[in-house]
Amino acid sequence: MTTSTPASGWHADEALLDRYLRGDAGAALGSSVEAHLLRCDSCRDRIRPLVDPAPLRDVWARLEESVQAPRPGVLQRVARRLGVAEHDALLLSAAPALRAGWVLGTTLALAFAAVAALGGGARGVLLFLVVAPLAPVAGVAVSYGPEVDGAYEPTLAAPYSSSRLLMLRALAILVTSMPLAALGGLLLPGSAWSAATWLLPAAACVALTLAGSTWTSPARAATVVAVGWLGVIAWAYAPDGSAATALLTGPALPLYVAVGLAAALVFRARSARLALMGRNA
Amino acid sequence: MTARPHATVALTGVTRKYGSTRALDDVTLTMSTGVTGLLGPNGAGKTTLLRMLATVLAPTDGSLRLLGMDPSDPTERTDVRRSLGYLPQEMGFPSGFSAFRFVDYMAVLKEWTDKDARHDEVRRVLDLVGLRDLATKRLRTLSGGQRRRAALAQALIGDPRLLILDEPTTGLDPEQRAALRGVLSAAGHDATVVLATHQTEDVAALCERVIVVDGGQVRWDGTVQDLVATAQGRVWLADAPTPGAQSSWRTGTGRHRNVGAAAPPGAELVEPTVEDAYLLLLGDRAAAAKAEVAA
Repeated sequence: MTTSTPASGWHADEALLDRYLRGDAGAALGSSVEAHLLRCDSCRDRIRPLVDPAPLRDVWARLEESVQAPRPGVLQRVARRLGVAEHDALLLSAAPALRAGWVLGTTLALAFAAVAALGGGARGVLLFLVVAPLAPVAGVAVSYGPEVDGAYEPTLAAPYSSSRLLMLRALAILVTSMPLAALGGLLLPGSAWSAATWLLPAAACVALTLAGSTWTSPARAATVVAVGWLGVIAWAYAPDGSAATALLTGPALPLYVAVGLAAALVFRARSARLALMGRNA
Repeated sequence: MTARPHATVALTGVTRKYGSTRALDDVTLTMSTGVTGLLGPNGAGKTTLLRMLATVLAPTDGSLRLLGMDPSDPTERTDVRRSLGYLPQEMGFPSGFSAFRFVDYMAVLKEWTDKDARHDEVRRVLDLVGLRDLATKRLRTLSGGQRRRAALAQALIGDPRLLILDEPTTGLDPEQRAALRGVLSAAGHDATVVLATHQTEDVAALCERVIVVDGGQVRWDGTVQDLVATAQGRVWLADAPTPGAQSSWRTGTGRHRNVGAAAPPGAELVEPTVEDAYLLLLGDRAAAAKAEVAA
């Protein structure tokens, strides 16, 4: 904006400024007054006390808000549509496991495993057995903790419950990865088991990871759970592909429920330990 | 030392062990409103102490009270956290976040759930650290000093009564450091501000009180003036390094500034700084430890 006075020496008089402020000056005259005000210190000084600053401040605040407030990401918008509160959706958006790249990677891994199971015989089914429950476990591993969150310390020092934050993110990971695993299960050839049975070992593994996170970081807990699950598969493996049947039918299913519930109880009992580094609450 | 009635921070016999190492060893001290500087060499225990004051680390032994509450109790710990701002020594940011979004995210963790009020607060703290014009920039595109200021902004959310800052001026240029001193000194009127730093000039410019930590123990606790006074008569200028001086360096004028046990007769004594006093304090400690070992 210039700080000069127009060479013509003309200035808007009080009556004209008043009409301009009331919006009664008409389009042509109003534009002329506006153009003049942009160049004339004197007229700006005279009009300033006549203008109520409150609406201008509101306009400026709205403008600043529209420029500065970040546009929610895709997952944040999806979470909002699913009824997640605005502030909780923002907390989800900071987790690496809930960023578009990770979700896409998980989807591709599950799709690859499902394709391998369709055409790869017993080995393909085995691959799917490994990937489907561990995909959400890996997501939990990279959703919270000192290894994956650079703001881990100030996050701990905030009053927001660490266990709630971890559970919120774990739940979101289950929502994003479990349906994919279930869909993959439906595609498997000749299977007698329903797609829903995939939910049980996956949920049990996630619950175990959460429980383990009360002793160590989620990343380490997830590593232990992954090794354990691989051990289970190795133990049950048979060349004819019966491992999948054995692990997803019959007596194995209540076992997953029992393990998952026990892990959930352990998590609940020890969740206060998540509030500190070193877990020595 | 016993806790004064108005103390906002009180440690009694606090020890923190990592395996067999004592990062803090039987520390007893109190703090109250104002700015306290924490000096000490790397590995002295400053960060461990600050983590305890920030409630993210529990003592192995001893008791700690913050703002009159016991942080070992989960409910009281949460209450302390409602009045706490913490800037750790090292800090990363969620991928792809702008300065505004990051501070907004931290404000949610600090229970600012109303979006309009939260965004107003985010703008206020970004303004305090001089980042309002860069609020929309992605953090990874900002300089180290700017990222440090974004990290500091989150600590200032809600005008905390207890502000714990681990090396807040790292990466800041002199102008930014001066601006930050203004922010912290203003905060120190009503809040307990504890800052660990290696910048002794920040301590001299900002702190009413200085605590020197070394080997997990408090080696000095007093006013900045009292610390500087311990170096009176022990800093001098000479045309060459003085043999036996603890530290000696050639200054821009070509003369040598010597810091040591005692100035030689006739030496040109100069006013000591906080840094001189700090170096002498640590040097004296090291000499005493050596003598103990020799004995």
